[in-house]
Amino acid sequence: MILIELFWSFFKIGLLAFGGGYGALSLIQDQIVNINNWMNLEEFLTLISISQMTPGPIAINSATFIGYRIAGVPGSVCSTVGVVLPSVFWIFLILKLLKLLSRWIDTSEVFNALRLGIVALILSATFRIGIESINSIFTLILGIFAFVILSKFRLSVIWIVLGTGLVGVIWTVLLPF
Amino acid sequence: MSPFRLFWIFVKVSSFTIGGGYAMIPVIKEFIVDKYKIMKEDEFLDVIVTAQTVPGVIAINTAMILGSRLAGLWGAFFAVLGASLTPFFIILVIATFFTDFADLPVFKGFFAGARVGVTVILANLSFQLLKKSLKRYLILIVIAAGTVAIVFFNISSIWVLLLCSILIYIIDRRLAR
Repeated sequence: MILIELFWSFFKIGLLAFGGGYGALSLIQDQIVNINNWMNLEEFLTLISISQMTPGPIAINSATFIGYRIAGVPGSVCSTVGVVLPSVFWIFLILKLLKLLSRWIDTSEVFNALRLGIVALILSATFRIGIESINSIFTLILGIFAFVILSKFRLSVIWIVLGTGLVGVIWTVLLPF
Repeated sequence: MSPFRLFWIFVKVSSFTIGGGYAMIPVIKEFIVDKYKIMKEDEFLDVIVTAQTVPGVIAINTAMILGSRLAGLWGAFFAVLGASLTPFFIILVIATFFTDFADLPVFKGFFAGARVGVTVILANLSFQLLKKSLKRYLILIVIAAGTVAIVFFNISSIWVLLLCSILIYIIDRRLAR
């Protein structure tokens, strides 16, 4: 049955996807395009660009979208639940493991190192999104301006995202007139 | 903390997560660490690190750990629900009514701008986290090398996280002596 197939495919994606959305993309493509033939490559790439433009994790966005395309609202529910569920298992496991580990070694020292290691991941996400989004003099000026406002006035990060979005709308919609 | 408050925090967080899971880190930090002061920065980073060490949707992993730390099992449930509901409904509306929405200038402009905003809030978070280790050049070099490995050589982030952290751990021990 298609609903079970959808659930199972996205369950496998959630179970094996390391390193978040970008790491999961090839896995999603494998399940959707190569194994199940639910979409052709072109449709898949459109879907990915929509997933990257709309709010939310890429894995959840694509699960909802593909599920809906294949089997309507029930399909979207099944694939979304499928991709979310493995997290419950993994987190349960890692929290137990950490508890066990803390009996043998001082995990606080390990976490001291991990806290600095994670900066490399956050920096690389900054660069990846930055390289794609800051691609003109206008976006560069907008970025510098937003950065100064954020660090000088301690504005909420939500207002920064909304504000830059609004400037983007004004720039693309009003400027041609 | 009540599970319903967690639910709302994660609804807000997932609404402003544009361009993948990392974008939500500065938004969650603002709520949990800066605004409501529920966690210290180090504790919060431990949650982020733990969420990266296992597979799964990172946003959901993070919601689960934070939820269970702050409000037990129901906290985990409502945080995950909050994190997945917004993207689910947004994608459902897009898939139902306008699949070609990605071509509308208003949306294009908004998301082109908002992604600049996301870059800015991520860059700001990176600077905040790097400030503490400004004088430890060796650690800065390790973090820079890890970033280059991910962005330019497409090395999987989990390996970079592990390798960087091991190096930083060794450097820390050497310096402590």
